[in-house]
Amino acid sequence: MAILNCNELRKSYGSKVALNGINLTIEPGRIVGLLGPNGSGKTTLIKICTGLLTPTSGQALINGMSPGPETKAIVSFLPEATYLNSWMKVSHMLSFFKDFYSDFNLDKAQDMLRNLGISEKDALRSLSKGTKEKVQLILVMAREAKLYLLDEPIGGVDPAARDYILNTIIKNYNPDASVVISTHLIYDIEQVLDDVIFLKNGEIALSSSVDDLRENHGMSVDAYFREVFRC
Amino acid sequence: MLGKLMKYEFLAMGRVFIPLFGALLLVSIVNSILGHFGFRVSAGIGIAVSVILMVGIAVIVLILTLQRFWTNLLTNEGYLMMTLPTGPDNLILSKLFVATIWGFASAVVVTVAILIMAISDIDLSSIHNGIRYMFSQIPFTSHQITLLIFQFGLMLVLGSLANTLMLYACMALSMLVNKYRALVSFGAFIGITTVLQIIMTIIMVLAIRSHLIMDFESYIHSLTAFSGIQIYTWITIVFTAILCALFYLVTRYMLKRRLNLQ
Repeated sequence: MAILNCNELRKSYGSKVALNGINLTIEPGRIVGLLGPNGSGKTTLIKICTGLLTPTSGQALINGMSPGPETKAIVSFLPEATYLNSWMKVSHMLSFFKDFYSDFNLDKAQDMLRNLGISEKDALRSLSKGTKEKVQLILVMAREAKLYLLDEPIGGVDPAARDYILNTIIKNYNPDASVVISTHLIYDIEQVLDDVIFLKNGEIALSSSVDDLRENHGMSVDAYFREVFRC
Repeated sequence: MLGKLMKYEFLAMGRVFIPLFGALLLVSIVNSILGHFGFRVSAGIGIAVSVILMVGIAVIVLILTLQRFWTNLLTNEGYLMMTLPTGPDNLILSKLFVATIWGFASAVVVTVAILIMAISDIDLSSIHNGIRYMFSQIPFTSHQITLLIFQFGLMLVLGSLANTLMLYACMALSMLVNKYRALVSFGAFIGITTVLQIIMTIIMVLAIRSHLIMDFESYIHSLTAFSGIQIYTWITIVFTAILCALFYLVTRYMLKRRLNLQ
């Protein structure tokens, strides 16, 4: 069964249409790039899949279920925003995730924190923005989820940390799980993607495997993206 | 899931309340000890300090109740809380129960603190006698008094829940707009309290009017004091319970269907 299935998904904010009839299917075991310029509907699509937004019409099904407590238990979501409670310590967040997510792998998280030199005793408010993003990514990737939805996971960190983060993503997702990465920094993530979805004005402009795209158009995803979205 | 959410909610609010309670009790104990050594303050100052304490703690309870709901669910932290594998019911109830418990705990601690400060001035046995005298003057049976105490307790708890839920509903209604959310919440608060005032006035007028038709005066005289109080308490309890349900459903609907974190 598809891990994510969107069916004529529409979302409008007042008169502004953010998603206009999205149909897409993501199978298990794929790393999918959700690509598009700012305001193309990437975040809206992800928020609907996490249950943070209710679609205006159509539906998004995760593992065959509408977003709710059951899907939230198998979806690991990294928002663009920093959601860490500033009064907590890193260790508090670890136990918070352990408490609420039965698929949270504490050893894995502690391992990753050690590798990045982040102390569990650090108060979250004392961390820099980039370090907070790393902590958040570690928490999200230490879950053994079925679907990872990562909204701009590399937007706020330096290029060196980008490589570490991408490696973390590839190393930590299990083969039955799928990863959706939304970004406009295509060049940096191109080498890890299996499939790409181009979003343009709330509609799917292209949905293809990376290999097919390279073969059919004779160019990289980044180059093709620049062609499709030329201003 | 509710238990786990409440645990973290207790910690988040306790972070402020526990040191506050500690400081309050410490100050009142020091004050009481100083009193023994003759450093007495006048009754006027004592009363003023007590009033300031009560108002101060009430304000802190209010601010924390607002802040825990607003920051934790409706701003960035909402991305974490709203994607936990649970529904809006557990999120709302955990906040509601914990805020209510800390609220009542604050009332108890302030009372204890004031009693400690006043302890050297108060003759405990006279308080005891006073309470006994009060009860002996109430023309009800002990059975009726037990019922009344239960009803007043219920009114207190329901009233507190309704107030908190009204604040939650006002904040949740701000999800209807994308800008000026705090302002919209405040507007909702003004609007809801105004409408409630109007409704209560109408109920009161109608109640009196309907009695007038069947001769209000003889109706009042036909009531015993106890049955009069009973009518009042049951109307209040039912009305408050309806308000609780209404505010809860509004909050739940907004969080489930109209959530729009920015």
